Amino acid sequence: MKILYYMNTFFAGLGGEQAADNPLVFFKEAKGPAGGLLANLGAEFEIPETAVAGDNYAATHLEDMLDAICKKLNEGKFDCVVAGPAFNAGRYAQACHEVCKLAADKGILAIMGMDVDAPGREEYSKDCFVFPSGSSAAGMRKTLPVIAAFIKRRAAGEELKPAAEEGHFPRGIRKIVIRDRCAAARALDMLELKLAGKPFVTENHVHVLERITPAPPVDLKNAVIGLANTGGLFPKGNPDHCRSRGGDTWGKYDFKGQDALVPGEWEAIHSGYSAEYADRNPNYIEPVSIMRELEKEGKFKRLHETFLATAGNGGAVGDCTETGQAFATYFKNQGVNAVILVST
Amino acid sequence: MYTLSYNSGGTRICSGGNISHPCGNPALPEERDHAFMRKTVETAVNMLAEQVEGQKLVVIER
Repeated sequence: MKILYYMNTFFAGLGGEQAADNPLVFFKEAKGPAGGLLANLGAEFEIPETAVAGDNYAATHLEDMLDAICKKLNEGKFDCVVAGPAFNAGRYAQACHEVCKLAADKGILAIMGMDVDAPGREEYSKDCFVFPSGSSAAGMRKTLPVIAAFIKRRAAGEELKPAAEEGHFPRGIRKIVIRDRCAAARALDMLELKLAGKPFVTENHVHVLERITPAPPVDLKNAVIGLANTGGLFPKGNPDHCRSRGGDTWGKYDFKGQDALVPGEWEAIHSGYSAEYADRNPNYIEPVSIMRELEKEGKFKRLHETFLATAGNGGAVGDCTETGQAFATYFKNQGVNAVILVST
Repeated sequence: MYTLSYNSGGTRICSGGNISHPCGNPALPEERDHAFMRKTVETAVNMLAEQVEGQKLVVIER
């Protein structure tokens, strides 16, 4: 089986954020985790090429990147595409998914890895096989052997078993099978275990993100507007010691009387993107300068002069939900009618 | 990364510059950068006054 492996510049050893704008390049070798996967696969498998692109490039030149990968897949006659694992990285997971979806649409076995709580996981699982990887690169050692075993079973032509047995996230596909006991009997078995406080396995695990009903529109002329960001923009020195990831620590920061955030007084503490531009102009992350212009022009009644900030990357859904609710409670108590939340 | 916001269920979403400068574009000359910042932020403010069913995504041309 011939495999094309996609990864970002960090895992290819070409650099992290400083290489995020690197364009797509094909290396004629199994770089980084591709080497690890090959070691778990055996001699009948080959990874002759590794596709590597910076995460920013993948996000901003997606069409070009997919065109090049499509051409490579057509020319190279690959049997399988593996991407990531992306762990809890947002941009990287998105890029991996796009590459895998391209391959899957061409009938090529497409596999990626990401964390169970990473955003997009449920959507991505519908398009390709997504394996749990944990939230950090520490999970690589456990993930690659599981993916390798899956690839071997597919190469051997074995029948695909349920997701839980194969080790990947459910894809939302239901297959009709004959069970040895009727549903009522199995339900009573589960109830018996539950009442006895013993573990049981549900047959129908439903995990969906809460869908929010859009708030009604506001009358801008009478609206107090608040600002918030998940870009980790904090006062210089990060006085509240907020974490650079996780979305679970946050702070409130005044800019009373200021027409713009002043460079040098703020810094971006965020492990998911390069802070270079944010440090140069913090209004790129929290657009106080533009909001002040609009306020003076009478676009809305008043700008609330405290913004809320957290570093949202790698945040578990539960933690981010809690932080979002805390933001909402704060703004509501302050009489703010609407909020602009800037995300990186 | 607006597709991430959309997939996560955001109801009013406005695209921005780039992950490291969502409200602007430092590659542009100052005047044009300001115009882009203005367009992005004002679009977001205008969306607050719009009735939305489900989700609304506006993609600003960079």
